[in-house]
Amino acid sequence: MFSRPQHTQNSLRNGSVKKNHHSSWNGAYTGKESLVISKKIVAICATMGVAISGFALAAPALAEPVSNDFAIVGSDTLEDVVNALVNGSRLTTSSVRVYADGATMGSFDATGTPYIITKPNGVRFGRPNGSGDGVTALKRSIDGASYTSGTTGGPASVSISGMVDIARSSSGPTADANGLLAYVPFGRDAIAYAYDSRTDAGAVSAFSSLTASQLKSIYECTVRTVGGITVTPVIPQSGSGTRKDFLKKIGVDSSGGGTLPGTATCVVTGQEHDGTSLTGAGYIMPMSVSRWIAMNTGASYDKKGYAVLAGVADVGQAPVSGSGTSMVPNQLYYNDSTWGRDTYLVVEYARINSLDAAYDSKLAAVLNPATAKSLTNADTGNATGGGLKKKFGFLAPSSTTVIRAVPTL
Amino acid sequence: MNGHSTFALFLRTGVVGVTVGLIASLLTVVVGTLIESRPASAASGSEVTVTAAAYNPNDATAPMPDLAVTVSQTRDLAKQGITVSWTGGATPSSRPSGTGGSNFLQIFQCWGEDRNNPGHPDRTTCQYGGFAATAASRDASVDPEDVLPQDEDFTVPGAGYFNPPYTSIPFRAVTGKTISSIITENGVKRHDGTVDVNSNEFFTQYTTNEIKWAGSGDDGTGAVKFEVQTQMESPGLGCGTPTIEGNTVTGAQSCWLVVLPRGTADNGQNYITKSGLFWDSWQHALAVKLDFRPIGVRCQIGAAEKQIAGSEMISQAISMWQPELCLQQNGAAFVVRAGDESDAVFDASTTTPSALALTSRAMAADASDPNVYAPVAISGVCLAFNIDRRVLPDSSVPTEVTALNYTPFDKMNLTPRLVAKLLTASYISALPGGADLGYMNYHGSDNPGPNSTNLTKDPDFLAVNDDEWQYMDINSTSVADALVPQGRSDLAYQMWNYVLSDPEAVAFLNGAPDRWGMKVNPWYSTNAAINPSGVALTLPRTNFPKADPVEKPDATTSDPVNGTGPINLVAWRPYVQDFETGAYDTLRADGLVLGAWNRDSVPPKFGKLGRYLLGEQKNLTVTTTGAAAKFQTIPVALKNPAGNFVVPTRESMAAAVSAMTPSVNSHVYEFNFGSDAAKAASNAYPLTMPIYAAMNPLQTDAALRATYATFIRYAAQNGQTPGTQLGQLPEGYAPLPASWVSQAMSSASAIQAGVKPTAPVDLGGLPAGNYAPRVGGSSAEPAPTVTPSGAPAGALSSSATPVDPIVGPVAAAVPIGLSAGVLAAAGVPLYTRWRRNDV
Repeated sequence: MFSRPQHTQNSLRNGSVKKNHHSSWNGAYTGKESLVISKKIVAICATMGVAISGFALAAPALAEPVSNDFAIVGSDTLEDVVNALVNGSRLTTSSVRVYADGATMGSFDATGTPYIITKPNGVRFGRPNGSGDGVTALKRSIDGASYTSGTTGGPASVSISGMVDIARSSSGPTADANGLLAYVPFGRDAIAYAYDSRTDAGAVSAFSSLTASQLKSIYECTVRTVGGITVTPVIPQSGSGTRKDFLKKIGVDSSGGGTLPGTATCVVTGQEHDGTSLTGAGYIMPMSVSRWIAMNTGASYDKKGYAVLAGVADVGQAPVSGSGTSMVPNQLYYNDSTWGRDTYLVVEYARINSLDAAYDSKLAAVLNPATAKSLTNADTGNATGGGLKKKFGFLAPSSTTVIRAVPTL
Repeated sequence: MNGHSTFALFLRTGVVGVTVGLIASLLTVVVGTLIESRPASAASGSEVTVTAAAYNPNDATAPMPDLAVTVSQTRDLAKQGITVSWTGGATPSSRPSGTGGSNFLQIFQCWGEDRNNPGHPDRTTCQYGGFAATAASRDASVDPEDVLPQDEDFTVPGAGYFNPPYTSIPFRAVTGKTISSIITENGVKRHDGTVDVNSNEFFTQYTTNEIKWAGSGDDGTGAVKFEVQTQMESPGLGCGTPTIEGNTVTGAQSCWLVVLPRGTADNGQNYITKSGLFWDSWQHALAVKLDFRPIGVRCQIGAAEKQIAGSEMISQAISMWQPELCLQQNGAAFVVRAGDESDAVFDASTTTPSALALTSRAMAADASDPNVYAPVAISGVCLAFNIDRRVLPDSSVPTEVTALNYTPFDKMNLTPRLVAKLLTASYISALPGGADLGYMNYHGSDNPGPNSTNLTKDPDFLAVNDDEWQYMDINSTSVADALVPQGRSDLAYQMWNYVLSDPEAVAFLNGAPDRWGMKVNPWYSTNAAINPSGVALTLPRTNFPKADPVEKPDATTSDPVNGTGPINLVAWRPYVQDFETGAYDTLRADGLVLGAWNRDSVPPKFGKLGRYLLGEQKNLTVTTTGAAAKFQTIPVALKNPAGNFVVPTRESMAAAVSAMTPSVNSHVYEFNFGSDAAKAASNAYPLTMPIYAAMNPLQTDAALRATYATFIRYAAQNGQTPGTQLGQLPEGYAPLPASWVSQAMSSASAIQAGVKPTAPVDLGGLPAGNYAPRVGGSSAEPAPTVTPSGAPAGALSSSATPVDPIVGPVAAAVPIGLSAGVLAAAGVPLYTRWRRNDV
């Protein structure tokens, strides 16, 4: 919610989330947002941040506010829903806001300015763009090694010790019982794809019923037309969990060379979930169903552009039902073992393990699904985190078991 | 068990030596005494079928109650491939993606029997979990209510939401050591974070042979090749470890092959995500007992060890012959140092004692060649593949083709020109992705130029193969060329000769486009005017060069976010260690494809793509016919000079032998592609090659000559009986014709007597009727009379010579060592397929 100017402007126009954004002063936003949010508020924010955290004495010379407590970065898929939980929202008609033992937290978008500052007196570092990048930032925050983000133009090789507490991840890990990170189930999403609505009418039925095998051939550039129209596959930036997930699900090897299979030069890179990456007839891209629903219900900023959502034909189910503000997830599509996916919030395991000296009860509390107003709650009531998530297109995760992963940072 | 563990120590030590040797010289060493006994047999006679209904009669919750699994061979096993096929699998199978998949089988090897359930394996003795992947690890966090009583011993109770119960099945190695990540202190179980049950000293993802996912077709059937491991590959299992009483080997340790059906959801879960060793899944396991040949006990420990150097083609046969060889009078343990044949022959051509050379080519013409030649085996070099169908997702594809989607091909034809294309990096995907390939006329996938991306897309290939290939959409670097070994060999030489036997291939290499416009990669052109180096590639040659200096540039500085490190041709398509390794990698469905760039690694590096899943396999390799048979890879049918496509079999190799003619040296025969005999041999496999033992009979160590004569006599006589027993001739070899056996016997006599025969050998025209493999006979046969030439060798002068020849292929080490340095500098991920001892 913070980072893109147009995002903020739209949200401010949108009554249903106005409250949400008015409460945003205590989170983080970018320098550009200071165009619409007064400097006074910025100053208050900075003061608040210092006061609550009780650290530095001098007010930092920042152009933007910082988190009062935990800082959250990473996945584009999860940014709006986590922003809403952290900043508070009345989308369910009840107020839902998650506090860290009374303190507010900051959740940073995957895109926006090339850099962010997450905490009082914190360093300025490249904005983590996507799940993989967010988890990397978390690792560097733990081990203190230098970090370079996946955002072009961000500062390179910055030491970010303690600057990130939670990473949003739209894809699951390879479990490791000795893992230093914990993937706490957040909610269930699904992957579908979107095509450009300007695609010729005669080709729409072909474009709206692609199978996983067809998508594989399209992303390997060996099938170049669909329904007689030239197809242009768009893939999210590297570091994106959706990119990784999608390629794995359609069975494309992500081999070396930085491209898709060495010869797949027909594939275009575009920011994930941004329908404006579809720039004409025949463009397609993977799309998180939850993001699509949130864009339709008004929970998120509308980046639909000319995109039209379609479910992968193998599932045999539509990904959503209803339309516009009453659009909801189709549980049957989300249940698919291939195309449904659990999403996670990632933290350092030691900090939520009550048997560890580094245990942080406050962090454990915001991640405890048993608490109604926690980040990981999956209940359905209007006053719960789970209820709010549903407005953003997330269902309860298929498993609530915490997964440890990443044995060495 | 004392004798047992002592023995294990001996074997392991041996492997360390071999590994060090490899690193030092990058030459391949095949140690006959330490490697398995016997390769695969299509007609093993020990095929076994096990059904879920019979094996687990009271299993009411079996995920696949009708499952019936057939294992192609269950006795006399060695390091080899076997086929596991089944019917009654549940459908539809879905592939791993977030979850472990659904309705699939997991296949792995275990060593111990469950004491509480005789006739069933013990899950703590299974090599499982190496990938540590979802639904394929030994351990997992679980929900408290999902822990079954049978798993409680292996479970640490939980303590709140963030400390869920942790179940971990330990690995009990046959050595007596247990790898467990759960320790008990004062009666309280605790998770020991220092132990990784999935990657440990006994197995890792790079050594395990487990198949974590094997799906069924729509009819519930399927088949997969499984790599059987012995104690050499998996010391924790110890399969094939000899059981010794006193000084006598009484048998070998057996093992289990386990086939574990996985349904659609684990206990308490919505999907398959937990370990297959947890009781909920494990209770449905099917298992078959595997009996092994004892490994390693070919000869008395400390018995004389003699070196043989040269042709790698002999490896599989030597492995079979070895136990009999050391029982012969003057017998010994023969250690094969596989490497360049011409070096070996040169070393053996002086009067200084040397290793016996194995070669397919003579050193020189009769008059100037001091060696005598004894044919010891007939084998061949081949291309072998393991490619699964992937049907183009298009409604125009006939349904009978679509119905076979994901099943393996069993037939492929190649012409000399297609072989040339594979060996010259002329397909686009064989070149580093992201590099500027303008010189190949490739300007991106929408302007790809006339060269196909890989073999399966080439109209030249489609023109000579079954129609169904045209409906495939197979895209991978691993089918754009073939895995080739590093180093020099007669095998490479003969393969290039084969390419040059075809005018179309010669024209292609010279720079002329084929009918479809495809041109050779100019760096490999035999036309100096085209070759950017300004020098023509010299063919034939004894190696497979990576001649194209193309490099995808380092972009980590210019694009710190998405840029990757540099990739040259060797990094993109690495060499394999030797011909056998190519077949082994193909069995394992490892295409050696470069993985994604890991920016977070220190230093940053490329990963490795790893093994393909069943149904997505796409591998192609250059190998020997013996290795292809042993590892159950499918040999390619090559177009022979008569114009027919022929696969290597005993019959087709025999047909080629019948058409062989003398080379520059009348003692050494060859399949001359241009000869009338070759053009008339309609059923001949063109890359059939004879293997000759060669040495100067005037070498000064009489005892050593006697030992080598014994080897030759055994190989040419008893060793020529086709069969699967120890001492016999394995698949991938054709028996010697009678006249060749005679030549071998007289050459053996000459070597033993230390005289150089004068008369050239005349084997006659070898008409087909003359082709009668000799069976039986004694290797202690008296030496026939040999006409001596020159002075007899100093048979009694051995006091002046070392007991054993100097070890080490010095001549070869220079060029190969140089290329090794280049490889290391390029940061090539080189790893040995052998177990590493430092894991």
